[in-house]
Amino acid sequence: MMGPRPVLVLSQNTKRESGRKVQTGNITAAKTIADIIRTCLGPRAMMKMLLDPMGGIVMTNDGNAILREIQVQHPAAKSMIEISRTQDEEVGDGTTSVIILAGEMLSVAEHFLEQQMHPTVIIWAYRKALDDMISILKKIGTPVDVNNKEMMLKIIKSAINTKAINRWSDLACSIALDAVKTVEFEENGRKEIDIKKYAKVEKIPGGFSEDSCVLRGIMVNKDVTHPRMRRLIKNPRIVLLDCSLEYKKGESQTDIEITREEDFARILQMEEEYIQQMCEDLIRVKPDLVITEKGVSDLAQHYLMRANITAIRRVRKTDNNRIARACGARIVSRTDELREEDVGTGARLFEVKKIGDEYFAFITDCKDPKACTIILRGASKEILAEVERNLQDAMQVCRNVLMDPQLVPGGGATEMAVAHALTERSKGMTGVEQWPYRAVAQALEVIPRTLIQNCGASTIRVLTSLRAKHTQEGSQTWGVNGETGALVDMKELGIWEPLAVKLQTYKTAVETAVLLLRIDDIVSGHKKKGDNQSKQSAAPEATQE
Amino acid sequence: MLGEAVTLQLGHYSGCVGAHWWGLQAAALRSPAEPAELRAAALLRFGRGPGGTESPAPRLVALELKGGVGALRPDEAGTEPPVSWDGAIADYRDRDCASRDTGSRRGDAAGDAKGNPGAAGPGAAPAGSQDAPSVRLWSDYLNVPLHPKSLYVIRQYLHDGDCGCLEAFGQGESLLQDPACVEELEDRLHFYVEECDYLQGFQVLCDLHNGFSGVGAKVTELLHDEYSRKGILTWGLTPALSAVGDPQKSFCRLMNTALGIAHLSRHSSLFCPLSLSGSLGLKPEPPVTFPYINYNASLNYHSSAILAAALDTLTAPYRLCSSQASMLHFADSLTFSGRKVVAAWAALPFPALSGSSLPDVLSAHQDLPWKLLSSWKEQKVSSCFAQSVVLRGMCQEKATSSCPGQPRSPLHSCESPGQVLQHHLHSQFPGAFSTCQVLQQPCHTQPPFPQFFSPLLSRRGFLLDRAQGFSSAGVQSMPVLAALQSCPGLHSLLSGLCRELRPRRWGGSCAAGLEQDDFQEALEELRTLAQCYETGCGAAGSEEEGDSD
Repeated sequence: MMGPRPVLVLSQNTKRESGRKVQTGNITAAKTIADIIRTCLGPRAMMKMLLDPMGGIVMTNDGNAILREIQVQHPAAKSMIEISRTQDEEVGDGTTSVIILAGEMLSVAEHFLEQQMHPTVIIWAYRKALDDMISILKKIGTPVDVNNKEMMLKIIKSAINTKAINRWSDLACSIALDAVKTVEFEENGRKEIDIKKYAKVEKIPGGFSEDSCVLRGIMVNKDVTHPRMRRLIKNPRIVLLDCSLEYKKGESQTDIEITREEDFARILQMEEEYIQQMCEDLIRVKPDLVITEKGVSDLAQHYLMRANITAIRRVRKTDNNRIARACGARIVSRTDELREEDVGTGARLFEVKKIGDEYFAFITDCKDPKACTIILRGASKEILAEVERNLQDAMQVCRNVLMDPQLVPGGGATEMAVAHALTERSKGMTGVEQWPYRAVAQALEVIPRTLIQNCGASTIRVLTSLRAKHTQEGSQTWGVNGETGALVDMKELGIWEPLAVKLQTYKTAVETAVLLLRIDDIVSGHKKKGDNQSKQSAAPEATQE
Repeated sequence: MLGEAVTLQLGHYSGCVGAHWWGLQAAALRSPAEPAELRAAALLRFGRGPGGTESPAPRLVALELKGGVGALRPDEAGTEPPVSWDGAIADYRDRDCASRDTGSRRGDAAGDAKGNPGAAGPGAAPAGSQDAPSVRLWSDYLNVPLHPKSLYVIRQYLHDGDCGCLEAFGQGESLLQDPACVEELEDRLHFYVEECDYLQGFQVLCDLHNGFSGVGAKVTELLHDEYSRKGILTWGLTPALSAVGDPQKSFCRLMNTALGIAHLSRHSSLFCPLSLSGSLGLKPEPPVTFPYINYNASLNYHSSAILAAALDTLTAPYRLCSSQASMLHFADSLTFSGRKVVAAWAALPFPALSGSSLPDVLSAHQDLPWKLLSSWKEQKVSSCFAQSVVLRGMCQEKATSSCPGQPRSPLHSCESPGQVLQHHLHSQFPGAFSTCQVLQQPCHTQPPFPQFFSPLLSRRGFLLDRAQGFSSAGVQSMPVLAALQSCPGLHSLLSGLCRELRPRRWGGSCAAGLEQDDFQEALEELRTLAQCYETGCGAAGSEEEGDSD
């Protein structure tokens, strides 16, 4: 009889791993990623300095920014990095917490896998725990009055305190709040706060950090097209275009046959007349400032200058949109369709300033700007980049609160409260699921634990007393003071976080843990590098006829 | 129409292609056998050389990084030497330099043959002409004198090394925001532009794979603003890429390429990506192969020679003595409907048996025998919107039917080679707007052009029935067929770049000095550009084709 012969199913250059090995591998990868940024949590966080292969420097303690720069091989590690990015895009804060939490969720599961518990059981328990966590969080959440400026500043401050800019956090907070309030836009009951589009951060190296500010308007890194155009205009009438002021070629193939010299002159004249016509259309609405996304020909510049109109060309589309929102103009695509209501009159001042070696056009002092530019000044590009990241986080926090005015206490208090509630509930459960369920509660404690670790206090002592504190009635808001490592009531310290961020953090962390636990096979179809190279170099010689 | 053009070489690979191109033109000038069909004055200026003789120098501004260009040969350093010392000085340095030069090359070639006898092959003979490993920088094989104003070495970045290279688009862009650099460039441009009687426009050779794509973006913007009525033909060059690279690096390259195409095509009258690489995307494809050329794709010396020969042929329409078309007109005829990007094709050499006639050759091939030089996978020629085809080196007497009897095909009944080609193109690409030029002058391939030809080629580059016995002269010239095409295949190239870039996360080092908004805008522009080449929605596509006829 024939013996069992190995059957080759997968192609030879695919690599396959399966079973327990994959699960432990995934868990180790997730833990490794979490360990990288563990020291970046809390107000006593350490910064990381990253050198990329091109020689650029990134200095940050922002979880997402760190992970973005590192290159990983393991697929599980890749998906961990991906979640911090999702967190950043979704709520803009808690990027470090989500990674640490997800890593911890996985590492507590390792124990059950070793005891031969089936992953589906663990997953079921995790999902149940997530549902309960959400309902508990919603119960803890307290509403806030968004019009109370002091309260809002406090909330933003608690987000900023963990960052590099906490030295001038008051300024940063008011910048963030101002900017977000400016771009807040309500129309027919639909609330829109699009920070990405309408609050632009412009970094200009040099000056002092204290010079940073929010403009009541827009700044673009452009100069006027013609040196004799006005650089300072009060109460400018602004026209925005997205067409070029150049002679436009035909859309289809054209052939012109000319027999007489006069005809040729006529063609040239027509081209000139075309530009002249465009400029006359513009001049009709009496603007002081014309801004276009495309080019402006020399001739058009000449006509505009004669009419005492300042022109700026090649503005970014997004900048143009912002200017439109700030000064109330409408972007026009054809000059002959220009009407009086398209002209923006909202700005009170147009000015071109020279900062350092570059010219910057300011359109400021707008009446009711719905877009703004934030100018950051500082010692170096790297510092400015970090400040921008922090400020973006602060604005995101502010936006989250404005969109959903619910708060939960920070400093690990929420985690402890949720963990306590989960442990209580698990006591009523029967069956094997109660252990992974309780493990989720235990995993949540990683946030206060890391906070304590990062400020150098005794982990076990503080955590035990914190646990004891949470068993008492009415002390759900007690957490860890990240500066000193002491127990403190968050209500008194004023450390609050938006509910939306917490919800998103928990959801993402648990979902990721569940996703990675469900995997029991990794098949990678990567070719070996060596093979490919030899094939490549052989190719040109091989095809000789 | 007589008119001059100024050439700009931005980057090292552009320098390589340029060096070969000037070499080809110099070789054409040296061989007085054929009537000069191409106006040398279109691209070259004739300064007063040593001893009062006229010596041609390219009307060129070359930007290169520190370390990217070696010492130019001393006799090439300038065309305006001190007048009183002409005789003696010229003698000494010529002799000295020539002997040193050939000596070193011969030595290297010998070493090469010893080390790798199989690869050297029968074509290795002419000493100094083979691909000596000493040929490292383009200045090593540049054999025309450069005007002192031509070369501008950028000191901020290094050509080679682990860091300090011009890697990212943003770095290149910011380089040209430095007023000192812009002034330097403008000075040089003005010098050439002012001595032109009638400036047709600019030819920009620009590296796409590194930070020079950003430099090119700013340079073309400057040209567009300053010389708005002149043609700006931009060639985006990419060397044949190594198969597997660092993923970070290849992503960086992809980003430079995409941003480069978006910006360069915005400000140029015509943009053509030129590369022997099989793909510009992340996944490497094997490089383009030519049936009668054995080249080493990893050597810039080889790959740039092929591109230069194609470029010399492609640019013929606006350099012809007899032609009426200017660069702007040439560009307009190809780029209507916003299709500013065109693809290049070339047959190097044009596969003709020695002694056969053009109609015979054309009817022997099902499709045209050319290869794509613009890096996308699909090689099938289906249709095109407009094209400009140049055939050179097929002699007049062989054009029409060799046997005087009955014409064997409609092609044989045409009178001139131009008509033959036009007729053939019309049947191959019905409905396309085709212009064609036939030149008698072949492409001269004397050294420093590498001798990488198959032994099946004769001295004049025609096919032989059997492998050539060893001939010491190598291939002296070859017939070339090349075309610029605005064709639907470009849709796949452009949208492919967008597709590969879109899911990538923003950030990292490639983004140095670049704003995310700018990046999104460039992507959007690429997408719009790609849509111009769409023919999927049947009616609209065919209508446009109908119009263009």
